[in-house]
Order: sequence, then C-alpha cells, then structure tokens
Amino acid sequence: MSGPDNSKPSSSVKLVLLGEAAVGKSSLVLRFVNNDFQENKEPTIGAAFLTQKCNLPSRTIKFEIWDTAGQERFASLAPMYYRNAQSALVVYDLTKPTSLTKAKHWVAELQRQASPGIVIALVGNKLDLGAITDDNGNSLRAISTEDAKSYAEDEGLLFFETSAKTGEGVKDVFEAIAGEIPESALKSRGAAGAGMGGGRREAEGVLGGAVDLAREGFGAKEGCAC
Amino acid sequence: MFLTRHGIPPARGSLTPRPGISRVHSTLSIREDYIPNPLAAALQAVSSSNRPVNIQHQASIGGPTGLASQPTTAISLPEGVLAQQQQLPDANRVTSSRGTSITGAPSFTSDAGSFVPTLDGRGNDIEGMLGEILDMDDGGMSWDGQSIFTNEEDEESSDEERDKGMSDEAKILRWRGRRKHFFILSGAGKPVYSRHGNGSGTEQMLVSGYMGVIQTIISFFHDSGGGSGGSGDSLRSFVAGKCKFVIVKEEGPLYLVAVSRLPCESDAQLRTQLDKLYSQVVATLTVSALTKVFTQREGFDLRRLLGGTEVFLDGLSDAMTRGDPGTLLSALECVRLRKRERERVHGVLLKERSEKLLYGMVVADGRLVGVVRPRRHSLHPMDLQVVFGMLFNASTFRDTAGEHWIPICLPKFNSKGYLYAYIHFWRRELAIVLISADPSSFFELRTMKGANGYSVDEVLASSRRGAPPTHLPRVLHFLYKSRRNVQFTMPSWEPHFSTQRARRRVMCVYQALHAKVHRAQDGGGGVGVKVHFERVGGWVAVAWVGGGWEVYVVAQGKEEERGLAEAAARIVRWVGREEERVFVVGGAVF
Repeated sequence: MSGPDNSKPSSSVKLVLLGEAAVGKSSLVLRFVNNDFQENKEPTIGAAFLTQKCNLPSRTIKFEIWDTAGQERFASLAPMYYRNAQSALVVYDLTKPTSLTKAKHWVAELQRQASPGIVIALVGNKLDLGAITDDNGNSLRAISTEDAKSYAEDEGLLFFETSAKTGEGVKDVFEAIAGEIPESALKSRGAAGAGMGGGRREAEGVLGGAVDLAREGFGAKEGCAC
Repeated sequence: MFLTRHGIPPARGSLTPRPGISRVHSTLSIREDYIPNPLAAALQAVSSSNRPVNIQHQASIGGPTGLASQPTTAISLPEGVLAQQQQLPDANRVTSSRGTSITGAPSFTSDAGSFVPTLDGRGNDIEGMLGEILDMDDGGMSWDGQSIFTNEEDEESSDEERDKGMSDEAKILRWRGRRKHFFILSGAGKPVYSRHGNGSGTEQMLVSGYMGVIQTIISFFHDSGGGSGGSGDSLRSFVAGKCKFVIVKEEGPLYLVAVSRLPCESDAQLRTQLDKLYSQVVATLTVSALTKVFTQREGFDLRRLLGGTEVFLDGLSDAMTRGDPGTLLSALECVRLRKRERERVHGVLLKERSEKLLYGMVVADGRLVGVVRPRRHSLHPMDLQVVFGMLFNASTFRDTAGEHWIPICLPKFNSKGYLYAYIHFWRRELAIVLISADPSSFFELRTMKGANGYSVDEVLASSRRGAPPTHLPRVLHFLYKSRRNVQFTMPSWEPHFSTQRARRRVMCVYQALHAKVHRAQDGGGGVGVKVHFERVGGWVAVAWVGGGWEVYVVAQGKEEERGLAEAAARIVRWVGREEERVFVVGGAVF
C-alpha cells in the first residue's frame, strides 16, 4: 500500500480502461501519468499496468491503472482486469460512431459482471479533432455531446469529453472518479492491487488457446491506439 | 545448456521433396491480361515492356496430397490465361516464352528472357553473386534506368512521412524497387500481411493483386503437378529475373512468401526467415486458433486478429532485410558479462522467484543477460528471438513507466496454448521478462522486478559489444556460433560497419559463406564443406565449421589465407577460454 506522503489519508483505487481499439485509452493514461503525448502510438498488446497518485483536498488516492488493449482478440481477458475494479473509464472516439456503440457494450458488461459499486466514467476522447472541420465545412465530430451525455445520465455514469493530445479534461476525469469512490469502498477494498481475480472461467478459456475468435464484426484494425 | 538445439527448423514434411523420387521441372507462363484491370492500368504507366517470368519447380510425384485449397477470391485463373507446362530436361535451360508474360505487378523480373540460376547453379562464383551487392556503393544496380537502392537508407523511416506528395507511379516504383518483400497470405489467397505497400489505395491494390498472382501460381503447381488431379505437389521456390521467391506453407494454411533481390541469400536462409515470421504470427494467435478460424471459414480475414501486431512483423522483416546474424545462425546472442556478474543476476532471479514463474529473463538490447528456468524445461532460440524482437524491434513495451502483461504463445514450447509474460523495461535498453502459465499471476511475478538486486546500471554499462579484436589487426568482424549452446557472439559493428549499407554488405558475405558450408540443408544434395575461403570486394573471408562451433571471419584483403586461418583459430581459442562470459551456459535452474 502506498505510504502517506503527508498527513492526509491515502488509499489505492483500482481502475480499468476499456474501449474500442485506437480511441486513445493509452494516450489518456500517458497524459495522466506522465503529462505526455505521443503521436502514432503503437497499439497496446495485452494490458499495461501503471500507477499514479491523485491529491484530493481530503485524501490522496493512488490509482492502480489497468490500460487494456482494445483489439477484439483480447476481449476475453477483460474480466481479469475489471473484476474487483472500483472504477472504470469506458472510452470512445467522438469522431467515430462505432466506438460509442462498443463503449455501450462495455458499460453493459460492467453493469452485469463487475463489482456492484463500480464507478464508471464515459469518456469521449479526441476533443481536439472534434473542433476541426473538413474541406466541406463539416465537423469531424460524429457524436454530439448531448447524445453521449444523455446516455451517460440514463445509465448513471460520469461523463467527460477529453483531448489526450492537448490535455483538456484529462485530469478532471481522474479527480472526479477519485471523488466519487465512497469512503467505505476505500476501507473495505484497500488492497486493490492484490485482486486480479483468481483466473476463473474467462481466464481458463484463454489458457486453452480458445481466445474468442469466432465473433464477427470486430472493431477497426487500422490506425493505432493513440 | 538451457537452449534446445534443433538447429535449422525442420521443413514441413509435406513440402519436402522426397529424395529418390523423380522430379518434374516445368515452366509456367502467365499472360498480362491476367492482372486485374485497374491495377494493370496503373502499372502500365510505369512498365511497358513485356517480361517473362520463369519458374523453377520441383514436383515430387506421388508425394503427400491435400495441400492448397482452391482460391475463393476474385483472383482465380481467368479464361484467356495461357498456362503451359513443359518438360525441361535441364533445369537451367531458358525457355523463350514469346507472347506469354506478366506485365506489371510481377516486374521483379529484369531483362526479357534472362534467367538467373539459383545459388547452387552458380558454382563457386561468390564474387559474381556478390558483385551487385558489393557494388552498391557505386549505384551499380539499376532497374529500368533507375537505381533501385536510391531510397535504401530511408527504409527505416515510416512510409507516411515519405508518402506526402508522392505520386502513385512513384510509390509503385518504390514498392517494386524494394530489396525484399515478405508476404503472408491465407490458403484462399487473402492478404494477411505485406511489409510494404499498406499505405494508399493504389499500393494496397498492387499488393492484393500481387498476392493473387502468387496464390494462383502456388495453386497452379498444386493442382497440375503430376498430372493426375493434383498430387501433393507444392511450389517451394523460383527465380524470376533478379528476384528469388521462396514459398513456405504452414498450418492454417498460411502461405509465407519471401521475395529477395539480394543475390547472396540461399533458399534455406529465406525459409528460416519465413519460419521466424510465422513464429510471430503463432506467438500472437496460437496454431489452434489459426487452424480453427480457417476451418470455420476459409475466407476469413486474418488481419482482424493480427491487428496491432503488424509492428512486430515489420520489425522482424526490417531486421531480416538489414541482415540479422541471429536469424542467419538460428542462435541467440548474449551480453558478454563477467561470470560473477552473471551469477549475481541469476542469484537474484532465483532468490526472488515466484512459485508461478516458468521462465525468467533479463535482456539488454535484444541480447540475453541471464535466464532462470525449471530443470526439466529448456528454451528454443526461435521462441526467445521472437520475444526479444517484440521487445526491441517495436516501441510497444519500451515505456519505463509501465508494466505489461501479455498473452503469448511460444511456438516451439507449445504452439497450441498461451503463456503469460510480464514485461518491464527498467531502462530503455534493459528489460525483465517473466513468463508464467497462470493468467492471474501478474502481481506475484511483479514482485521479482525490484531493480536493486540486479544492479541494473552496471549490467547496462557492460552490455555494449566489444570492439573487434585488436591483437588481430586485419580482422574486421567475425561471427562465432556455439552449436552446443545454440548461441553466437560477435564484436561491435563499429568502426568498420557502422553504416547500414556497410553492414548489409558484410552480412551478404556471411550469408554466402553460410550457404556454402550449409549446403546440404539447402536441398541441393551437396555436402557442406568444412572450410571455405572467399576473396571478395577487397576483403578476404573464411567460414570454418568445427566440432560444435562455426566461425565466420572477414578481414582486410591483404591478409593471406593462412593468416586468416590463424586468426580464426585464435578466435575459436579465445571463445573457448571465455565461454562463460560470452555465453549463458545452462542458466539458473530450479
């Protein structure tokens, strides 16, 4: 557990990022953890684990972040990462309609299978691109703030629009999540890192070489997870 | 010994012509109207002359059956294609195929009617073989009046950077001018991977058209070989103009194709390279998944499942195009380290070992520092090369802030299932890799990364390759492979081979020497010699195969052969004395 660097109480919060490939999950984390941005970042393989502290007025939260790969072949591994998670960022690309559809699937899966008290934030990334118009004067934005926001409200999710590239809104997401985690959850689940689920059903499926390949209609393979 | 030694990966049974079975040599010609129209139009702009392609082909009559599946894509043999098969009494005879040619895509071919024989056909003339490569500095190699190596040094910069403002014609020229191509296609002829030409629509059209042609050629030989409805005949390699094509069929089925203009590479060497690419695909998917998807649907687009791993295939392809000693020798390179330092790394790995650990490795700049393993399991160098390639040929895992947890299949360990790898880079050039069979063991393995015990910075400081031996002043570079350890060692490329071009040249010499002493494996029927000298391009070089080792030395041309032999002997003695510094012998065992 993280040692307190001041008199404020400190606790760990396990957070998982989910979303279609190339929506910017890793870039959001990179902005949050290193305040950095890389163009043409290579796609995440498997999952990456990072930690970052977040100072709130009353306490310090140490995020233990699972940044998962968006490619469909890793989908069957996701339960390993969201099981026992206290919070989730479900990310879509606001210039790409299919990515919101995928995000909605993730939200449904989390509501069905993750811990009951999980705090979920829906994040529309690539806000910088949303401000750009093409040659015909049409905005690159494909998903309006209102549409996404009303969906988020219906489902009881936090909602943000961010740009990992410019940094806009990124810190707000994590701070809002930190503020939303109930005090009780922090006490009862302090050791966030210890739980990676005992590799139950889903994980065994992967071990047997049975990654879910039969599913059709996979997400985009082109591009990269920025 | 911690590495298993299977030497050169075995050729798949179904592809190996059986000795003693009579062979049919045949020639295939395809007419230009075979190429799909939009593509042909685009290509017509840059190529107006008709060029024949000659295919050398070995059919094993009565061999195994049931190979290629029928093409199900748009690329199937259309009417009007003149496909003729002829009996050739002499493999090297040139048949004139007037009016039958491939225009456009397969313009790897050069002057009309020319037929460049295979490596074996050239006899001992390495100088002739290497001439083109060694003359590269003079811009000696040209194609249609344009030097094909003009953008050679660019090969590492990304296509997107250079694509700006480039016309389609220029892109096609560039694509055709590449020294090497690697293709992977499915049994149904669908593109799975191509190193080059993934950018614009024109390029993609070019690539898929090209793959269609290759698939057609493959299935032509499969279907027609032996005459009676396909008899397990499979095309393994052919030469068209200055390009050598090598084709390997793997499980799935997947066809892997290497196209090389580099005259020094043997079929066997190209096959080893393709095996490595295939291993990367299997590392991502497992053989079980690969066969399953194609069993369920023959026309499955495998690119969807490989998404995100193109960077690893690209990294491997580029390394093998530049010339990779590890691939050439099928061996692993280790960091030269004092015995005490290596023992300390092994000691920490053993002390911190998690119950869930299967293999643990410390790797610096693509070279092994130390390894911990169970007593009953050893590792195959190919598996480690694939893992190291993923680590160091791409930047996916190289962020020192993150820790990674990936499902990975080690094809030679178990091609049917996944293991899980914990990957963390302490520094940009130094990583720890911990492998477990348990998908939920991340946090247990993670405790092993504690950097202090490993003396990370000391290890990193020792990880630079040494300079070429100063007591052998005329020796420019050498490769030494220990067959027992399945490892090799070499001095730094600097100062003599610091540019890519110089390195490519010396690798070419190594490849030619290697082909000479490993001829038996090339299916040519010859027996590999034990010692081979070569004077080439101002250098003198030797390959020497001894008991349990191989050494390849390149020296300045004024060195006499006797002096070179002495130098080689001294290198062998030196490595013998230094074995435990130069190689990881056994590793830490639990």
